[in-house]
Amino acid sequence: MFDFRIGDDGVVALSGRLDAAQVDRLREALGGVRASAVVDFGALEYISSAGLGVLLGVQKRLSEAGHRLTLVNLNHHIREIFRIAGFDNVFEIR
Amino acid sequence: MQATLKREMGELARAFRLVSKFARERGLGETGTYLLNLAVEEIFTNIVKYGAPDGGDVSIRADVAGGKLVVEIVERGAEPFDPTQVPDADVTAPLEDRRPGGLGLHMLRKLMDEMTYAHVNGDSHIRMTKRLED
Repeated sequence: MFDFRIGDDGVVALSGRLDAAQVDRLREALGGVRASAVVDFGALEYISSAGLGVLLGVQKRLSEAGHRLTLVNLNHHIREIFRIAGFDNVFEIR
Repeated sequence: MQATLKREMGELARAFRLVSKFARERGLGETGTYLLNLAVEEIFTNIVKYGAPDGGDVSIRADVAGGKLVVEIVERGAEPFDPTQVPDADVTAPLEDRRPGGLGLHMLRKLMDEMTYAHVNGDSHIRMTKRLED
């Protein structure tokens, strides 16, 4: 089960499992983001290439306006996935 | 674990439930569990998206043997497509040149110790192994 919550501070907090069947909900979570924002992965257990593709698309859209996503609190496995996908070059990861 | 799935995205949830049960029963550990989920999802979704539209079912088998996770996925009635020969995605390109395609296979080839492919009697066989450490 994948879920998200957008806090009063604009932080988008993801939780659960983000697989190919759930990416429309990630698009929903990030579709309204129009400026630099923080995405909190602290409660996200799993992500696959489907979720990476959505994140990449959002980062490209934001970068055209000089904005970007910052990704925080990635677990060990997801951090490794991002490193292998070269996402540490295109996202700020903290 | 042994499962036969119809070639449709709706089967992914059932595949994940079987993976979860297998991982729990075999005490697979976090890394092995993540990799098995990823292997099943990336290969199965590629088959659904890009495989022959009139192809047959997809069989998935997973086992732990000799300290290794072994995953075998068979696509019935498949056009030959060798995922081990697909060029690596360019993961060093700047953001504006990055494309999401190819990341799934790229990640599996990097994360698994071994991936082999064979096309036998009209079926595609993909086999992946990973030595388990936790």
